[in-house]
Amino acid sequence: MDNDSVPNDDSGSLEHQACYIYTPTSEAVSPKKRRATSSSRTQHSKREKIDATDRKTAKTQAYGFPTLLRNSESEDAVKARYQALEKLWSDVERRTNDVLAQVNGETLQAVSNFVHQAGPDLYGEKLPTGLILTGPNIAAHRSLFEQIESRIQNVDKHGRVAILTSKDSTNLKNVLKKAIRAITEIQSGLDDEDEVVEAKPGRSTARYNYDPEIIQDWCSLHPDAKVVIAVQDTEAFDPAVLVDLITILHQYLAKIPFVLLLGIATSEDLFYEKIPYSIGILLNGDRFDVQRFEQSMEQVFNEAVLSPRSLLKLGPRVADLIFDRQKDFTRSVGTFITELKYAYMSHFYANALSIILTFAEDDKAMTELLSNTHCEAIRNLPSFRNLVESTLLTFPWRASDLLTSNTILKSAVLSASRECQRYSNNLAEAISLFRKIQSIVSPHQANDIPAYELYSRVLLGEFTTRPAFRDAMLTAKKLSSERFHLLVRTLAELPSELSSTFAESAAKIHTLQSEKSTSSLVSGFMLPESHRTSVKSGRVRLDELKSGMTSQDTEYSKIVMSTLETLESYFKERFKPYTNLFLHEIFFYDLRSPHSQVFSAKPRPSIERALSRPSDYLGCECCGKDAEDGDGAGIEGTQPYTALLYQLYLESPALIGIYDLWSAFRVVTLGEKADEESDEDDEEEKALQAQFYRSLSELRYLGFVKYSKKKTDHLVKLAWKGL
Amino acid sequence: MHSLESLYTQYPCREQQIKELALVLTQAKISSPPALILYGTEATGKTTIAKAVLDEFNVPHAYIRCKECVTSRHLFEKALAGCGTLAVSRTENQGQSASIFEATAKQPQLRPDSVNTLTGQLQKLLAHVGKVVLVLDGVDRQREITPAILSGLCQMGRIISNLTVVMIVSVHGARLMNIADPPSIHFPAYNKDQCVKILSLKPMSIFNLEEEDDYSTEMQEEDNWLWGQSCSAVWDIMGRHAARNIISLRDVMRQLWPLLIQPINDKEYGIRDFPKLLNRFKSDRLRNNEEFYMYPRIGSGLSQESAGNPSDQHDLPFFSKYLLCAAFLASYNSAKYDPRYFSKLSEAAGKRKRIAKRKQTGRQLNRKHLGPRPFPLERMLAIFQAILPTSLLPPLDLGSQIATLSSLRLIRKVSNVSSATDTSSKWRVNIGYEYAKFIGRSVKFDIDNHLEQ
Repeated sequence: MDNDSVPNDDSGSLEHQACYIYTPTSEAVSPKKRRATSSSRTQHSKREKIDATDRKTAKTQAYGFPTLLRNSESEDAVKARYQALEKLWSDVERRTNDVLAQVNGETLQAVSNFVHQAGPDLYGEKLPTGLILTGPNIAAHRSLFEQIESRIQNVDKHGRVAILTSKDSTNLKNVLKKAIRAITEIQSGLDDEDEVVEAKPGRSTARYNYDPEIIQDWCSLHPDAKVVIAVQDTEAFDPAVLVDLITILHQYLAKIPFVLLLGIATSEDLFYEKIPYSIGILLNGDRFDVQRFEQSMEQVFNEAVLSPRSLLKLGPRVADLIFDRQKDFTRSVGTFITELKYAYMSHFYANALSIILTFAEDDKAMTELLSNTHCEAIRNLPSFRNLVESTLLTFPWRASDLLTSNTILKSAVLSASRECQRYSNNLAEAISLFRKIQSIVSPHQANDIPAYELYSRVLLGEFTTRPAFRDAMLTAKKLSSERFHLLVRTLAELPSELSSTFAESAAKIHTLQSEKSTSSLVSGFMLPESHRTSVKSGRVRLDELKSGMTSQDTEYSKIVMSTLETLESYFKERFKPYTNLFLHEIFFYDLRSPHSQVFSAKPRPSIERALSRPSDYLGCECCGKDAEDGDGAGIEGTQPYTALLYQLYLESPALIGIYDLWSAFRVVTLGEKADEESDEDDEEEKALQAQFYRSLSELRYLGFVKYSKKKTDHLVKLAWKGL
Repeated sequence: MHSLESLYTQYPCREQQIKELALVLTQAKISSPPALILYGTEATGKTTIAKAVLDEFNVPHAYIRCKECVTSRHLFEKALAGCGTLAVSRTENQGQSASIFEATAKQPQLRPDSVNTLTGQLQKLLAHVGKVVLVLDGVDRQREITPAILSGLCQMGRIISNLTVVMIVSVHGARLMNIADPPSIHFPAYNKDQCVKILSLKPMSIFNLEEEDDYSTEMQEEDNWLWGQSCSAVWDIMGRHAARNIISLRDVMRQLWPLLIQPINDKEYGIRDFPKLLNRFKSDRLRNNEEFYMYPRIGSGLSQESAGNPSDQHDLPFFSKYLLCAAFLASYNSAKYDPRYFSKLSEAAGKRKRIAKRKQTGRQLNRKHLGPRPFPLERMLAIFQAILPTSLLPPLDLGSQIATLSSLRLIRKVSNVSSATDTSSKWRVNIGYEYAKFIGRSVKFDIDNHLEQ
């Protein structure tokens, strides 16, 4: 349950007014809309209403952006919002694309080298085969293989590549035809079954268009080129065809320098289960791994969100939503970029104040573009309220200025926008610092937290109290002196305001270490845990150990202590909640409901809910009275016929007799009248029957039932509720 | 018989076959048989011996590798082309006019698309060229060859009197060629001694020499001795698998050789310390994972033993894993027991124990061994909801998850319904127990708790 009840969700049109009076007109707003219990629904309906009114009043602007702030937004401001979106997003997109292009650079290089070196010297009579472990995100496979193709074919010029997909794997002939066409670039129709291809001049007989000797002819013209056959989705490829293909390639290996690349999305084991041993021993080669999702995701996130050049940041709740979906469902960088883009679009589309983002450097333009209505809107932000309340305690006159003077407000906006940017830059820096600490403190820990998951916790300001943070700090305390030295040195290299402090302590540790040349330094925190547990004897032992420490050790303990204290206070300072900031609504996009509605729509539960509890959607008097009691809504004669029939359907077994259904339907709709003798010619009865058939066909259309073949006049139940 | 002797030394352990083959194919005085069948399992020297004998005695022949041919028409065409070049060269040798071949060469468009046309064309082509041999290697391994075509090819030799069709096949059944009793030569599999003897013809060297000339006779002796010893040792260790054939033994030896002789190169052991060497090798290198060498995996050298480690692999999304578990359970449990395994009521759990006890007395196969059975999509979704730790309103992504799993062939659609997510479509899981268990464990779900035993 989210509570997006902050006013800025209201598409900007009303937020500058403290409240508004809603006067229902007969046709402007659909009476069917009714506030349901869940607040996300409330929002949804509200948004609809506003959109409807907006659309009616505002004349459609260029770019398709609506005029916000109750239609009082100037045309320039609308244009500015649109241009801001264009400018900011194109920048982010360019940078993320650059990152994505480099993500697989290493793999591409390795594959290209493999193709170049593959040959009889290295692999003998075996078919050189590269297994490319692509991961289960099938949407990315195509682009990966295209990258491989262009790398081998155009950049490194090692030969030609034919990419095969499972769609081609209907039979061996088609596979070979496609491969031959891709490699020799001979265009010939696929239509003819066994079309012949005019071979190179000088040969008397033509060849079949699936004859691999065509490639051999081509190879005689290109002596150094490798012929790469890349199978993009090995799992989906017909195993029998794959086996045939490998046999054929292996047969021709002596004449044609074939290299096979197989894309494996699931696991190698499943691949080896699929091919027979006799085929497996024909292959030899290498395996290549593309970057893990976590790593590439983090790289893209660092560039697209954390980078100081990205002005608009994600808020914690949206970030949680996005990354939960990534973890649970998609695991794909592509969808993350789509969702980020949607966040940008939604922010600039619906928030009139988003123009402030464009004024990051330009004060003059801001004073011009920010109208009085904009200022009113700013004053209605919750963060403005916080600001005024906090200034009220220290500078009461300034608070009143903020409330009355637009010029003062504008200058406050300017400084606030700088403050917001400074905050997020500091945050990014601190996050990268923390990631560094984590990687040194526990290098092999399986559950280290990537930056994109840290982000939302950090924004909420609660990260420093989390066990993950405490753990990292405590483990850092207990590190051996060599590792601690390494940690401090690495931190000193990172650009941050603490780097000089770290450099100093690193130098100190170094001198201490060289003074005490015999063994490594021991700090008081490294004493084994077990000595502290038992009270009396433990104390004694502890004292003994402590007395065994040299002066350098004591000095070192102090340095460890002070370094960690600096670090901790640094993090506490940086990891403050973002809601403290004035104008955080503008710089952090944090609306859950548009994202959850767009990216994780729930069509099936919605339909089922609409049919089983129509009152949730209709909100009419007649059947809505039970809805307040929770689950109490049962079958009522006043509900729509389809909904009635659906509820009867839910109660029936897997095979439903149509007549039984009809009689139940009749009883429910007619109520007491149903007990009377039914009259065939009764008009009411006929109308009801028509309604029954109509509802039944609607259920059929929705895929809930189909007619049974086993039994006449029976229906088969196809869908159960709640799945 | 001088040439026969040289063949014997070149190809040991095959004297019998070489003699028979030479007898049948090289006698000019008697007419050669219409068909000859060489049979034996993989890597028993059929092709090598056939080629060697034909070349050694200059028998005019055309050699076709049938595995290279994509279709049967491709095979016919190759056979015709092979015989064509053969005929041309023969006539040139004999100094006859090539008029006949010019005539056939003028109609290249006529492509043989059945055994009949092939026979007809060959008949014309080979009318005046004397005895020729057509070798069809691995003809039973070609995908499109049916028994009818096979016997047709065999009969060609009867129709064309001067043609002998030599077929190299792996299994020879009496009725394979559908002719009474074609002469055949069996190539039995090599035994241990034969394997070692053949491999010893080309031993790998212990010494890493830069120039060939430094290689002395002594060194050669050392090489031969150690190679022979280790070949027979490896055969004994891995015989069960390596006995498949001589080629896999050779591959394994090539792989193991550098590891085996490493202590010699490190000057730890002398060459004659073979028992020590072998013990060292067994304890250090093999460590009971002989299968690693027997079932070679691409790119998994010794250096990366963790290569196959499943935890290192790309991860599926969280709910995909649960979907996969649900699909596995739906395939391997029978629907009537679903309430017992998935109902959240405690009563059902108690019942389950009672019934399970009674079941054990009956003689029944474990479900796991019976293979996956199809299930309707709706049932999988129901099981999915039942095994999820939290309740979930299924969003749109779930459908795309199912689509992804099916395009990864982890689950497969078996019924032919137009829409993939149609609730009445039938599906089947495509993964084994081990993988399902691994997937389940990664989301802390124990599949055994819900699996029918």
